[in-house]
Amino acid sequence: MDVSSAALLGAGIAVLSGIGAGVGIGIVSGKTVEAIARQPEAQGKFTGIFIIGAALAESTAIYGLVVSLLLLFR
Amino acid sequence: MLRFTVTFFITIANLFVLYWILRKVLWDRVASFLDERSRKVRGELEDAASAKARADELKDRYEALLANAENEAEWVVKDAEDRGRAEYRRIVAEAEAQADGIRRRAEERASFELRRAREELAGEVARLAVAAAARIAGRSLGGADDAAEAEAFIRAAESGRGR
Amino acid sequence: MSEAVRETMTVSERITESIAVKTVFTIHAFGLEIAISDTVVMTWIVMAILIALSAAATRRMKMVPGRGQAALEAFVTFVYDFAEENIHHHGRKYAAFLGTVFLFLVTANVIPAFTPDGGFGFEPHFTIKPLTRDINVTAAFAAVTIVTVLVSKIRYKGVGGFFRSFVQPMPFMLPFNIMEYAIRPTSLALRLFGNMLGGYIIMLLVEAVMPLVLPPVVGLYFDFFDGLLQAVVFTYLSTVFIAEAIE
Repeated sequence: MDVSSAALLGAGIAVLSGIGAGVGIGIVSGKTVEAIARQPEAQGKFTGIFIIGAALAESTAIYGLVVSLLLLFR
Repeated sequence: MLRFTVTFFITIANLFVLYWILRKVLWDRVASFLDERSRKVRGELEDAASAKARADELKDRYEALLANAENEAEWVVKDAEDRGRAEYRRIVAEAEAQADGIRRRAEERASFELRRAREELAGEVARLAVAAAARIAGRSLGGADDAAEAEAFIRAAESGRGR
Repeated sequence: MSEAVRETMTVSERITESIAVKTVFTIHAFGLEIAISDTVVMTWIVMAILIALSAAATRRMKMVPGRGQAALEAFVTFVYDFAEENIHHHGRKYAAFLGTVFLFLVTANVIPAFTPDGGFGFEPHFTIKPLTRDINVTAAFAAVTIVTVLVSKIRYKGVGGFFRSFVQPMPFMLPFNIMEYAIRPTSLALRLFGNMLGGYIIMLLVEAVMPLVLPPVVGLYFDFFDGLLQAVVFTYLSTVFIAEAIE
């Protein structure tokens, strides 16, 4: 296996970090819906926390994406 | 791809320029405009409130004046009534007093007349008695002392009877 | 590039060519060669659009607002309220900064959707590429944000309070607290960059696979929704960082 095909493989593997991010965002949004269902009057606060949580969970996927892009477009 | 270039510094400068211009053109301008409007609206509201307060005060004063006038009118009527009644009483009393006086005077007069009439009658009776006596005695008893004597006799008799 | 050359390229090559940041011209100043990339030119265009729109919108404001002015007032009031609500004490001072960043990012993220469409295989005269596909642009924004956070912390907590905050709540947190100031801007920059570049690459792929119907539909998500969402996330996280620093 030469270097470029290894890089392509690595790019594919790096982008698997999206799985974790997807699970994380799913948990965050699910819990936010639960919280809003429990306390609908505090929806504004939950929305802010949801955005932060989703952004933090998403950042792992973004790191993976960046790594894979680095490998693809060296 | 992840190459660090001078674009980084240019973008920082760009962001500062954009921030500076937009703050002048957009944020501060709109914020001061909103402040000015809220101040204006508040001022107008205060004006309206003060105008209303003044109108209320005028209305209160007017109502007070009206109530005062009603009171005064009532008082005037009552005063007039009182005075009328007092006048009436005074006039009636005066009239009664006057009538009393007239009656008393009339009574006095009447009693005086009666007394005088009685005295005259007594004198007449004495004279008639003397004349009758003279006629009976057949002589003239026309002397003054005889007449006086007779009168004294009648008076004595009268006073004796009157007692 | 001509149609013929484009046809001979593979999808991968086309994407590589599209996302590359090119130098438009070079300025020779102060003995330096300053390469002005196309993203910088796009930044200037976005700035010009924003400044022109703001100036036009705020030039003749009436006491009784029309529809456009009411929307402008609602937006400005919302930004001020948002800043005040999240950064309690000195929130209004940061409203202009946060609002400027938000407006710039929204415009920069959404503007690629306004690429004039060649249609039916014709090559458009020019393409508007997202300027946040350049890591330097997003890194500059993240750097400005983190410098704002540091300066606010020193300003409102004092130098002593600033250094004391590194050993709070416990002294062994010191390395983590220092790392936080490196990780936060990195994650801010990479999040914006990765999202916009990823969306752009997916749009290019979609155009390569099915150039006729699909791109406008998918573009609705990747150009408008994702761009708006990423601008909101960036601004919101900046707000949270500033609020945390001066709390």
